[in-house]
Formats: sequence, C-alpha cells, structure tokens
Amino acid sequence: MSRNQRLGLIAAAVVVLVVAFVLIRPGEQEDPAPPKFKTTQPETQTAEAKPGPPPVPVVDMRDGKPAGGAKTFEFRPGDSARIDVRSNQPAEIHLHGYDIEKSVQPGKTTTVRFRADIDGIFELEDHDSDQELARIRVNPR
Amino acid sequence: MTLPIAHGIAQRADLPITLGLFLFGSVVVLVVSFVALAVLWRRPLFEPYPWRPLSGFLSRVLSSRPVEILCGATGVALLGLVIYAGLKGQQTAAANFTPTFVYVIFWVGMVAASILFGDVYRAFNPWRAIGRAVAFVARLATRGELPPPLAYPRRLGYWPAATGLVAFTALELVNSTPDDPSTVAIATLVYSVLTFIGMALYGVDAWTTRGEAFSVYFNLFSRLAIFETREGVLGLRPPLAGLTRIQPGSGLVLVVAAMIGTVSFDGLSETGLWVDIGGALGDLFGSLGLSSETAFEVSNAVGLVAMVALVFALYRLGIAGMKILDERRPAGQLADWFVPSLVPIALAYVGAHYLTLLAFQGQAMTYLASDPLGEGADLFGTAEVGISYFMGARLIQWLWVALVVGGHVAALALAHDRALVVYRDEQDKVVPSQLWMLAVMILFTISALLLLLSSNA
Repeated sequence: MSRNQRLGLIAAAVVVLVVAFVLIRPGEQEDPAPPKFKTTQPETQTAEAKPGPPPVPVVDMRDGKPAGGAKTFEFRPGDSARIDVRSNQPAEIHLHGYDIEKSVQPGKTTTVRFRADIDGIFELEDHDSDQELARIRVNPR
Repeated sequence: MTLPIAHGIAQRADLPITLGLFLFGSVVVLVVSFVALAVLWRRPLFEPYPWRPLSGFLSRVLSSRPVEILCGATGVALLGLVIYAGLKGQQTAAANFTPTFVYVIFWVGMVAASILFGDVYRAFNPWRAIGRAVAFVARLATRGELPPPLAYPRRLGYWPAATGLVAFTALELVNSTPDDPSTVAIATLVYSVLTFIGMALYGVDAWTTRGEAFSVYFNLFSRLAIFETREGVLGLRPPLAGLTRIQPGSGLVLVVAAMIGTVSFDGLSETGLWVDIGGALGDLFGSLGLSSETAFEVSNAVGLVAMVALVFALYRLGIAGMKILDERRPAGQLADWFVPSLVPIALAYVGAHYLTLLAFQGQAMTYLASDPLGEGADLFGTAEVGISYFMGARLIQWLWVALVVGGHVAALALAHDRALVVYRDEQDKVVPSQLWMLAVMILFTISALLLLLSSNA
C-alpha cells in the first residue's frame, strides 16, 4: 500500500469517526426516564391541574429491614432531595457519599434532606447492621 | 431485587455508560482495528528496544542500600499494620484501615504506580524484604554454609501466581463478607505463611519472580512503564516495550486470563444478567441443602472460575486460528509468546472497573491513616477529612472509554510486533496469522464496553 493510500485511508477513518460521533451523539445523556422523585414539577403547574405536592420517597423500616426490600430512588442533579424514614424501633441511618447521619425514633418520621449534587449511586444504610435500606441514584448533569 | 453494591467500603457506585457512548466506543474500536491492519509497520518496533540510562546520581540514590532498606521496611510496617488493624481494630469495614488499604491502595493503587513508575512493588514487597533479611541473618549465622535453595521446577512455572491471583479475587468477589477486617487480616497471614514456605524452598528471588502472585501481577503491569532498571541502573525505555521481555513459562496464559476474567466477573456481578444466573445457581445449590450464604458463595465461585475459563478459551481460540497457518510451532508456545499483548487489555479492564474506587475511595486513606483502628484516634489531624467527588460521571465515562480503546490499540500494536519477530522468515504469515487474534481482541474490548453499559443499569 502506497503512502498516499495509507493517508487516504486514515483520512477516511477520521471521517467515519466524525460522522459516527455526529450521528450517535455519545456526549448526550439519553432521554432519561423522568425521575420518580423531584421537588419541582413545572409542567404540572398549569391552571387546571392542582399543583399537588410531589411524592416524597418513603422508607419504612420493620425490625431494622426495609419493608418491601430496598428501593432505588432516582433524583435529578441539583434537586433538593428529601427522603422520609420511619421505623418501628430506634435506628441510626447513614446516607453514603453525602455522609448524612440521622437518628430514627419509632412513631416519628425522620427526613433526610440533601442537594443532589454528587452523581452516582449511593446506599442509605442502617448504621449498626450495615443493612441496605434504599439506594439513591443521581444522574449526571 | 436490587444488587448489593460490590464493596461495603465503597461509598459510591458508578453509573452505567449511555448506549450512545457504548455504540460510539465500539465504532472507534472497529475503525481503529481496520485502519491498523492497513497501516501496519514492517520492522519490529519493540524487539529489541532501546534503553537509555538516566542520570547516574538518581540511579545511585534509588538503588542505594539505605533506600532499599527504607522501602522494604515501609512495606513490612504496612503489612504489620494490615494484620494488626484487621484483627484488633473495630470490625466495621469503612472505619478500619485494613479493607480499604488492601483492596484500594494495594490492589488498585499499586497498578497505577506500576504503570507510571515501573516495578516499584519489588522495592516495597514486604515478603521479599523479610525473606532477604532472614536470608542475610541465616548466612551470617551459618557462616555462609546455608544450603542452596531447590531449583525452581520448570513445570511449576507461573501456576502458584495464577492460583494466588484467583484466590485473592475470590476473597474479594466470592466471599460474602469480603470487607470484614479480620477476614482480610487472616487471609494476609495465611498468604504470608505460604509465601515464606515458597521462598524457603526455592529462594527469595525465584519465588518472587514466578510464584508470588502480587509480584507477578504488578510486574506485568510495570512493563507498560517507561522506567526499567538494568543492573542497578535506572533507565528509560519506550512505553509497552517491557512486555516483550517477559520470561515465558507454564501458567503465564492463566495469569493473564485471571487478570481479565476476574475483573469481568466483578463487572458481570453488577449486571441484571448475573442477578438471574447467580440467583438460579444459588437456588440450585440451596436445593442441594446448602445454606443461603454458602449457596451464594458457591455460585459466585462458579461465576468467577467460568469467566477466567472463558477468557482463557477465547484466547486459545485466537491461537488455534494462528495454528491454521503455522504447522511448525506448538500451540502452547505460540500462546506463551503472544500473551503479553493482552496485558494492555487487562489494564483497560482494571482501569475502567476500579478507576473511581481508587480516585474516590482512595481518599479514605487520609482519615483511616489518622484512625487506623476506627477507635477515634487522630494521629495526623486528618480524621475528619471527607471524600471529594471531584470528577463527575460524564468525565469518568469518557475516561473509561479512552482507557478501553487505548488498551485495545496497544494490544494490537504489541501482537503485530510480536508476529513480525516470530514470523521474521515468513513475512506472508505476519498479518494473516493475527486476524483471529484481532477478532478475539475486539471481542474482549467490546465486552469491556458492554460491562460498562450494563453494570448497575
């Protein structure tokens, strides 16, 4: 293969890669499934739909375990996130990554609040037993 | 069911790459492979490769006796701390020095150090340091009449290292409580005893080069680095070139298969596919009367061994393809000659899978160093320092794809270069012999991207 042919081939390869980049647009986030929980829902704040409070994720602890298994709660980056935790016995809970620790008392609702500014997947745990209570998923910007 | 986050010590698990990034990465791999075939060089670049000594002063300092003793002593002190903190410290994974040090700083950090600076592990290897110190004292005590060690059996080759690597990764990935500090400490003790037995039988150097799993593992990665010491003189070599000087031996292919296969299993175990397969296996073993914990461990062991075997089989398939053209050379020999070219792919797997573990969880060392036992000490005043998540998922994902594509290109270059040497008198076989190998490498590389796409998806 001559030198010119090689250069031509490399040029063609570069063109293919550029075209692929433009077509596939790998830098863009896929249209994300609408987060299950977010604090503001501008689309629903129209005149006819009453702006009801957004659903707040709830973790119900029964004897140190999450009722119905550990769920995944998804947040958008920058959301002011909150999770309510209830338990039938006292517990210490810990949200990894955001490093938030709270005590939970039976009969009371404890709210974990944080700004979802670290992307990734994080566990909410019972601090004493390391039992996973829920999973927080924050998508990239 | 949700998947357990792989490590109790990791605070954050990675998000999967987007489908777009997966597709684009795959296109890049295919295009690069195709172009590589067309623009390949005719004369080996890496064999023999140039080596240029660095300044004499730096060499003299780095290979001086005090520096050697200092590095060895540091290694021994850290080994001691791993065992002591693991046994005596608080038994909470995240608060104890031992699990984070072993799985993050040692297992992953040393890979990064090896690639950047060459075979630094050799200097810090605590077992080698102890072995040499004991040998020194024993020679003094016996006035030089110490019996020589046994000759290292050829057939043993790299088998002890391959077994050791699979055993270590089993501790991490099969075991249901991998981060339990005392488990890690006891495993370290057991491994130390086995290593000392190996060194006592075959000599410190022979066992370190072939038998000691971590020496072999980090040494393979260090061969990507530009630093190489020859007879105590530090010098520079081209990147990747060091891989051409690996001493072939029985079990070497298995070592490399274990490097790729174990990380593949770690990735696989975070996918929905493994939830189904592992769950079914667990049910099967449970129905045979195993407890749920044992059934979980047995199904993990099956998965781990199966992935190593799969990587081994795929590589041997590439070799079988080479054999179609080459009736003269035995397949085993070809397999040994070409396996170093897979080391960059192994790096891509390790790098992509453990990048954030090192970058983020590695920072935990700042507070664990101040409070290694997790008992509220603050030796260096850093016990309250937190982890900074300084890279966002987007940047991380592009770095992963760059690593995977870069590893693929390096592997192609090495395999072609090796083919030029092996078939130096049969030029017509150089490119055709590598076509199967190319297909196998594309498979490994796209599988790496596929794991990034489906982990935690």
